[in-house]
Amino acid sequence: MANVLTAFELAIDAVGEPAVLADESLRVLRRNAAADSHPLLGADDPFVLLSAAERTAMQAALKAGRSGAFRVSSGAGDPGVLLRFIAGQGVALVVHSDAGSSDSFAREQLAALIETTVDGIICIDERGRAELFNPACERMFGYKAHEVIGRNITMLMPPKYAEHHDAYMQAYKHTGVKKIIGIGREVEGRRKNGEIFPMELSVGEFIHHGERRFVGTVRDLSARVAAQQRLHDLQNQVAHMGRVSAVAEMGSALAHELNQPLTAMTLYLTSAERALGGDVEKAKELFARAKSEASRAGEIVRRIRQMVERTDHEMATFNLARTLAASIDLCRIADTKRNCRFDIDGVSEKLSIFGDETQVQQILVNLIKNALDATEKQEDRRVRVWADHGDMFELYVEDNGPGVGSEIRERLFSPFTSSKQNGLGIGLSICRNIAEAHGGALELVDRSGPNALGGACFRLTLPMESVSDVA
Amino acid sequence: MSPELHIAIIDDDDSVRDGLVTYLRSDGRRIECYANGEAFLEAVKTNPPHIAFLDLKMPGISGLDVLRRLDAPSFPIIMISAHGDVAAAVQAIKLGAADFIEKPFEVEAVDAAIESARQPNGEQESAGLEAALAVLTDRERQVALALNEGLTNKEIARELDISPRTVEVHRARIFEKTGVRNIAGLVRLLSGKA
Repeated sequence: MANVLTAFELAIDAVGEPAVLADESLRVLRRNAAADSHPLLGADDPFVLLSAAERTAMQAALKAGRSGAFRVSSGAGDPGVLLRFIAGQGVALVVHSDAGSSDSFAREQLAALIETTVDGIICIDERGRAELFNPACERMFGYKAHEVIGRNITMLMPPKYAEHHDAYMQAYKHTGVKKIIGIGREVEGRRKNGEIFPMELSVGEFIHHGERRFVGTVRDLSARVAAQQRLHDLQNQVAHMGRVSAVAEMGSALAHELNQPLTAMTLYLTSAERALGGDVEKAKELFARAKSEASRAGEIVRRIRQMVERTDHEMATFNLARTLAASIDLCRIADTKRNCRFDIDGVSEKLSIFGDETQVQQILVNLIKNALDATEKQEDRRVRVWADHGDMFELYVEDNGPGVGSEIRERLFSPFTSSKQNGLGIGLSICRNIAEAHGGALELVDRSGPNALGGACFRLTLPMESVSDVA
Repeated sequence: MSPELHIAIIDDDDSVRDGLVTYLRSDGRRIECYANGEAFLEAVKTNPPHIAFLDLKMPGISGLDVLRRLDAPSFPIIMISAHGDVAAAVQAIKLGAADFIEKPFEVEAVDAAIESARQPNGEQESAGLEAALAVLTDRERQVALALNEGLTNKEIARELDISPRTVEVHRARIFEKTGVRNIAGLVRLLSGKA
């Protein structure tokens, strides 16, 4: 938009006739010198002579990126003047011209705009042949205008669009159903060297001498998409780091937990070996017990791996109740005291969330682990997890620990803030990032009243995919 | 014939307890299991074992708490600790435990622990405390005292500004010179002095 604006500003100063620049709500952004002294365009509202319907029509046209013209007159005897407007993205260059010279003037305006804008502008006829290919397009696609003009526009598209384009245009001609016209859309273009790149395309249409024509404005998005990808990769790395650090914090407890089945296995296997000589049935039974201990060890390792694995940040629909159960399991394994009472309430078995399951689990593990850590010194340890949903899914994790101290409260979600001796202090800040990247939120909430446990309470909000059995 | 050997096992993990019973069970032995410290403390009043295997980390009252409440038990207690939990194990020795084995342990360690627990006047005392410490160099004595505090090799290395590998070498020399089998023996030796 900034670029279009600049191009229009250049154009408005270059034209000799009164002209103003207006935005979608028809507010004047800029006037040129000739407009300042003009009775109509110099007025506070240069569109004062437009009827309400004409105003609406013009605003709609601007929104859709269509250019046009209105003849306005102050009364029956007044031949009036022509207001031409040239739409850019969200702005319009409005030029006053008398009927006689309007065509040539508009052409000059248009030419200036087309030459200077950094957005690509392409005009095609109703059979899809290119009639206009501006310098920005030449830079973007790598073709010179003469290589494109007169040829089918599909040469600028990857095959998946190209093979349907003629049919789409035919369909529009017959049905009038708009699939892209008036709507900006992200599509792919194809450069001369064969490279496919993401671009934003908005299409407008106009009728000239009874023939339909389409104008496309295109903007190369490859730089933006690449930057998004980098940001995305970076976020994934940070999230992974957070999971690794969470597991590292639980490390010695998890190792202890692995030692239990390993110890039992050694004992069973030694006893089984001894029994083999005399009591084979007993030996068999002891081997079976050793095997089940091996599975138990494997299960612990699986849970840990799930947390530290790198994911491709795959967004998918997953069952939240299952993820929550896995998270609680992992935290319970790592909690050596084992005497915490867990209350889980209102988490529907059928609730689905769309997101990255590993990363959502990371949030859950962090919240539950924090809650368990917080209650460590309590006589009667309690953690409560409950769900609620309105428009969004809400999950609360509350504990009966000492709560979040006022000195740490404000910085709670900032990186490297921790009240724990061995805490790196990045857990909650990463969790909040993940929640926000999912279109949700993570907050500390105040709870009071007879049901409150008295400690900290966190609320995770996530957009809901579906829930089949709303309670 | 020696009388029946009564062994008590106190561990909150069902499988570890079951595995130990399975392994230790043989003629001439009576084995009793307890899933927590409270149950054991109750039973000890009327029915003290000859030897006890006591887990350090348990919900409710910990192994160390059990030791404290027993207050100079009449029977040897072998602590079962998690690997790397040396500090707690050392503390247990100071509280009167006879030995400790680290999970996951080899059965040989269990046998050796029973063996040495059944010979109360074994290794350490016979070596002679004064004589034992006298043979250590200044550096070895520093390492020995640090081990007695429950520091790990890594922590000692940092404290004395030497490499962990050097600490290991000193440690082996200390065990050899003082005639102790492991840290438990060393701690017992040094506690006897204090």
